[in-house]
Amino acid sequence: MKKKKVFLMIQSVLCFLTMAYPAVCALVIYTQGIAAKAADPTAWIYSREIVGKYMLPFILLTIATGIMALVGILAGIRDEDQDKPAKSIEMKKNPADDEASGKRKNTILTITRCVVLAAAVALIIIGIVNGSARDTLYKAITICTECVGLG
Amino acid sequence: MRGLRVKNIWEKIRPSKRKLVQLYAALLYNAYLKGFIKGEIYTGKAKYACVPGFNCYSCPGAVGACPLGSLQAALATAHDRAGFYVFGILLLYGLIAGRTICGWICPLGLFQELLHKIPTPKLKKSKVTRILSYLKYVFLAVFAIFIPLYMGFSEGMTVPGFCKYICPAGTFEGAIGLLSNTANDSLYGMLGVYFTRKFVILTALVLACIFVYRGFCRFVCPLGAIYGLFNRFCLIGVKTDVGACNNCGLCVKKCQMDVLHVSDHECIQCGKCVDVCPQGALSLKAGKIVLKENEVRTKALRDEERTEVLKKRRTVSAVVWGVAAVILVFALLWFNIIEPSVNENGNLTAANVGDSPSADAGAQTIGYEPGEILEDFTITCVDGSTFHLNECRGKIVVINLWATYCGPCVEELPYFCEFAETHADDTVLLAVHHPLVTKEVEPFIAEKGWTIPFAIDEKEPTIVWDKVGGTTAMPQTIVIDKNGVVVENHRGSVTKEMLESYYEEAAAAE
Repeated sequence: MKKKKVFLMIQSVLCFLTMAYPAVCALVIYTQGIAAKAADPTAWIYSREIVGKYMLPFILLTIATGIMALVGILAGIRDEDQDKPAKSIEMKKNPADDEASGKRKNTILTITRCVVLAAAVALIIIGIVNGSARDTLYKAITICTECVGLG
Repeated sequence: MRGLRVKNIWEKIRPSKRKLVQLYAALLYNAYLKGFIKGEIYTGKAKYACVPGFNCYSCPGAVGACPLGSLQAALATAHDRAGFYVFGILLLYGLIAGRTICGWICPLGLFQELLHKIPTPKLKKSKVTRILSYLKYVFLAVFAIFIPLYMGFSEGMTVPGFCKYICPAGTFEGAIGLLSNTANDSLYGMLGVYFTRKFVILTALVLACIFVYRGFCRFVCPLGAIYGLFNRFCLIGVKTDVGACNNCGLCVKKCQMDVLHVSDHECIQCGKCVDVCPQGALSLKAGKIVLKENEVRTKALRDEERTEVLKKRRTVSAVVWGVAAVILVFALLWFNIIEPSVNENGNLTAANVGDSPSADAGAQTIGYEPGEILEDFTITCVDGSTFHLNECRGKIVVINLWATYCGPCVEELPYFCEFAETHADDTVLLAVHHPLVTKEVEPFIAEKGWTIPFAIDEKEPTIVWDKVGGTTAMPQTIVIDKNGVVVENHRGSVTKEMLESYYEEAAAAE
């Protein structure tokens, strides 16, 4: 039992280091890059070479975490508390399956679904006609610089 | 003995049916495998369709649009055109599946569940986590709705707030996906504070998901927040037979999501509670069709009925998996080999930064990289005048590639106008709009009060875009000295200081 806990703690520390290391590296690269940019506004903050300098420890940490995780999974080592039912949580009664619980509820459910379906289809058709479908395509086929953090 | 050991190991690592469905969905959403090899994004017509789950459309493999990204883009341009299409798509997906999408066909959900398998101490749910689960509605309201609407209406800029400031899928699939390919090394020049911030957020979320089951889904995901609103009446979901249910609450206690009851807005309809219920009162259904039910129900049947039911299920399962396999194989073939709407020449479609066009023997190389001579072109500006590159010899030429739907482009263009005024004597500027035009460019320019020459590039073949090595990642700035030699071809935003620095570099060239 104690060995399991020690294993879990070591794995936690490894996971933390594996994620904290690249975050810290990014901050270091950014800080150094900003200083370089102050001297030369055209300098790049990031480059493959700069990132490459910090990769090896990250790769080693990832491999170590991965191996340890595999060993833990195969050995059946896990936090057994997660399998136990939660305590002190708020609960409510499960609602009935409307489709099986009577004509009135079933009717309301059917009407709701029909209304939403009609609205969805209508909006899609209007969207195709008014050009918002094309907007979706245009946005998706150009690299979203904001999404990937470019700029 | 060895056979038993192998069997035990397989039992431990064997993926469940749900895991297989999740893997299948992740592969189907990212079927453009060629994109990973070439370092480009898919630009075919399949991107009219939004995939149901969370998948960045700037991932090299993505074959569909991201529903959340599309929603933000639609809201950002709502002042111009209402985004009915995306609203309709979200309504349709919500109606059909609600948060079953989260539980079964979201790649980000799969990724989080795999992270959670790493053996570490785990944080269990509590009343506090239930309260924290409402945070995702704050992210939805502020980042996914308010910011795009506000920036669109007030500044006329497209700012997808959640994508820009938080989304880990964009950082992981988009940024790392593109930057890991050497063809996109020029994109490193575009990395700065936004990437650093998002990268730190990504590492924090990955770490959180190791210790907290589906941390992103439970506390952050705006898409889950939207789909959760449909859980009560969606077609597919976990349903309760109240006749069999004795309200023991084991389903809720064993559930790792912050549910108050089965199928509430936090329920991802994964169906784990179906196996847990000792009364067999729960089942995963699509309308009246039972997709998954507890063994208690099956065992209660007579032997002949049970055999019949199990046989029918096996047949249906085999047919469904067979059809799914055919669809996946077809998708892989279609998107990677057959697809006609993807431009193979890579001019408008790729974030490729390939080799410069070949040189004349004995002459300076013609191309768009620094040190090369930019190929001559003539383009008609929106005001009717003609811009002829070679006629600008003797002056420094600055070309900016932009688009109305590119937020960073719109943000930096005023710098170019100021720059043009400051260096009017010895500099010529030209701003070239991407061939894909989504709104009227001239009124847009007039509204902004920009004063430099503007042109809209042609679709195919392009006049300027290919010659300057333009990509779909904008903005891009090309600076040419008085002799027509490229001094700088910068991909990404520029500051005033950078522009001045490029000007000095170009002015110093003999």
